Amino acid sequence: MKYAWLVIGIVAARFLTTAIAYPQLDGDLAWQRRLGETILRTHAIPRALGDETFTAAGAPWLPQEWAFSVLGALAGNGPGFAVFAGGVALAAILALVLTARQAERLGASPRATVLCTAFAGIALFASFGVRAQVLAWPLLALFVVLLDVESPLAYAALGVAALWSNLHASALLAPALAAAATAGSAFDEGVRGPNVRRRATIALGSLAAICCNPFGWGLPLYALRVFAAPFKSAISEWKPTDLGDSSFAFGALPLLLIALVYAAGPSARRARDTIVLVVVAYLVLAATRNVAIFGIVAAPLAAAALSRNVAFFARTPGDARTGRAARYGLPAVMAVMAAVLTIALLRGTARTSDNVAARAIAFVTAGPARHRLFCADFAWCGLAVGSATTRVFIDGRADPYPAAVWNDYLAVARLRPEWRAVLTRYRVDAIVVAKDSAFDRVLERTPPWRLGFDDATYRVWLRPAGIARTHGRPIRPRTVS
Amino acid sequence: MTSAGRGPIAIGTRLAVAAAIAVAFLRAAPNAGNLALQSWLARTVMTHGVPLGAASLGWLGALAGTAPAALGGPALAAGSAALVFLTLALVERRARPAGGDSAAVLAGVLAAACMLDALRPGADVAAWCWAALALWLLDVPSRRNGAAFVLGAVVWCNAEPAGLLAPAFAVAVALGATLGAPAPGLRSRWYVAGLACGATLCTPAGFGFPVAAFEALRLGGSTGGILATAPSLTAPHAYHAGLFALLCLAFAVGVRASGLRGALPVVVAFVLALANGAFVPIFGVVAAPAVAASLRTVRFPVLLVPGAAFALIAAIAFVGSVEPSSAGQPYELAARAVRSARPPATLFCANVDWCDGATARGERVVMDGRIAPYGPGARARQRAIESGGPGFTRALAASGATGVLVGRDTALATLFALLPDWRAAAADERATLFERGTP
Repeated sequence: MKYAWLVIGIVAARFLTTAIAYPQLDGDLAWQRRLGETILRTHAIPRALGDETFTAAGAPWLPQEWAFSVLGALAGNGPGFAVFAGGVALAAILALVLTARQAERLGASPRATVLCTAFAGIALFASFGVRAQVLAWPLLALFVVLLDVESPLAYAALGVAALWSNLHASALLAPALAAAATAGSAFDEGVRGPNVRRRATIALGSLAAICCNPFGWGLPLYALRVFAAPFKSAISEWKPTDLGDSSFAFGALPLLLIALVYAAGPSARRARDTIVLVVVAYLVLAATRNVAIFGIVAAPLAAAALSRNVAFFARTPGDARTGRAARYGLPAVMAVMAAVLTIALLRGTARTSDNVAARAIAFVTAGPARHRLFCADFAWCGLAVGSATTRVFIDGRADPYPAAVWNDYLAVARLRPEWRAVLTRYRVDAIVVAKDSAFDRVLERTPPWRLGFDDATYRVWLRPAGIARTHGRPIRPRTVS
Repeated sequence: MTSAGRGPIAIGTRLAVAAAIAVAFLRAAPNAGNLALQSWLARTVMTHGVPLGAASLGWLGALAGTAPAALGGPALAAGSAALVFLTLALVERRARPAGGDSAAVLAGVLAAACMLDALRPGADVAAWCWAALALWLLDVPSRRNGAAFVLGAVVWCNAEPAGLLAPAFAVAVALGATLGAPAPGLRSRWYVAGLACGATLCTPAGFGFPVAAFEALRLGGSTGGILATAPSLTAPHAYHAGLFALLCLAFAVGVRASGLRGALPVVVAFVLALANGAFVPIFGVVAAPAVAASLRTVRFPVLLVPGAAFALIAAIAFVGSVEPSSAGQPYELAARAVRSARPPATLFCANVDWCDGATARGERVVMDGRIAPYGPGARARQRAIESGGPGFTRALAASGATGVLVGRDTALATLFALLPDWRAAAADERATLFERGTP
């Protein structure tokens, strides 16, 4: 751990700065905080979509992020939000700390631990944000740690699984990982081995534990349904992983390769580790969103495998000693690097850039007129959820929208031949698109759509009636430089 | 284990694999556009000599493929199938010394599973055979094997861009031998690696070959346009059934039966497969023997039972998924439509492979399936037009395209239908051709 802190310090600087200074990395936070406000106001969790959407009002909804949403709503704006966002960043940092501790527990040397912790940190980058799944990361790391404990303390994993299920549906991983560990232990020790019964109990117990939430067994069922959901093809986080994803290429892939070469070998093989690795390897290759999960689970196993098999990374008696340079010099280097990174992030132009069409959505929702809004990227519409005047086609909640609505959405977003008919059928009168995209070019040439808003990155196209209602004048697009 | 490898289960497994491969070659349509392109390159070589620079990529392969292509579809399919069987035989041969006969059969099954989605008559299968042969020669360091490897590398580099894998594998093996347990022949492995690197310069492209071939490896082989190179997009069945099954086994038993020198080529092939799904079969060829050899350290009671079951399931699933050859190929549409366009016609294809046939007839295209010789500027232009996004208008004007072949019912088709100086000239069930009208 002594060197891993250096890596964790630098990653922590990035997470804290990003969380607090870049609050709007995606559009989900807006509807999640709105959900939290609704729960606080009504003392009930909504179970169906409301009239904030005109395509699927009343469709069953399982708001798995309810706890995160309540916390977000309680935080409010200003300093409260900074504390909340900082807390989310601390959750990611805690996950990394637990990952490094687990590597050490498995016998990894400091060198192997620092290397694999760095890879794990990079693996967390792409998915990091003020998001519900980030709060679940430390619970995943803790669950993995407890699963490896060879004492009754391991049963604390059941409590972790229960808590996890209240934060995010990824809690379904708990019984899956426990089952994998059980199967591996049975290979390692025989079916009657000392750890097999405990891990089997945890596997079954965690299956029950993840039902300890307001939705009961609906949550694991929902998580299973998501695996086969048609809307996954429209969500970038669900696309299969490839080398173009930097968190995968520079974080998860090195861990994957280390595991591939060193995890299983003739000298030391733990079936428990390899089966768990197979589970998370499948997940990481199946979808980009699992890169972080892979990093957290695989880093300790990869670090231990490196220490076992590569002389440079092997544990040495000198590992326990800390020289003066290591005691003072390295923390100083870490502090300087963290400070430089923080300043760079704070001064970067990305901090003020609009990634979620916030100004375009604000333009649509600001006026007194009512709108039916279509967003070329459905996640942008999350910002309009709860608006008094604007109802959306599909928004970042994604899951509860029926397959037929998704098909219609894709027909428009991908400009299939029926796109105009779909817009007419749903009486859409406002569309937010990325500027200069194919969709934007098509709307430019398609009557009766007229430009209503135009900034450096986004445009809003309105039907003439929509323009008249919003501005009182038919054609005068508002241009924002 | 040896007897199990020659028993009824082993024979049945091999028969199931062979039947699946045979069905694939009988039913799958050859990439006619690519074949036409290869024939054109061969004709160019025979008429004008070997072109210099990146345009020469694959000249020897095109020349060698002329005869089977001229004999027609069945001969080409038979030749391609023979290459696949040879590849699997080499895979089995590499796995046998360390794992025994039954592990060898399993290696063949796993390698075949990784090929499922790419089995079609054409030149692609030659690369798999080259890879299997190269690794077989590298397994045992001897002067004769080294010389054969270097000579083979020269031929491979001239035959196809994938020849770049020869030095990559040689360096990986030498590096693995250096970092792993001490073994004889270390110096000769590095000599072979060095000479294999030198072999990449022995092509008409000279120093340009490694750069162009690297681009071709990264981008080429894609069937969905140059924007789509992710494994799951280009090889969905092999990705799940083959690559992942092999990966699971690799995690379970390891790939270090032959030490790091056996493992590092697996790493190279795995990264390659992740970069471009067209190389999943090569990952199978490289990794299957390493995994199967590692099985000797595991006390599996009957290796062949899971292997046979997997082969059977994979074969049934695959046979059901192979699309019968269809007469209508978008490149044919391109050919018909380009002839009607006003000269000088320059064709843009949203899927670069569709332009192969047009290139083969000597028509001008913005980019064809070779991709690599066109350079980064042309590729950026192609991407800008494909996406219809920023820079679209400028890229379209700069390309000089007077004909545009796009997928039917796509966003690009919708966009071109609305552009004032473009009109739909022809359409079939898969694509629409737009022509630039009078401005």
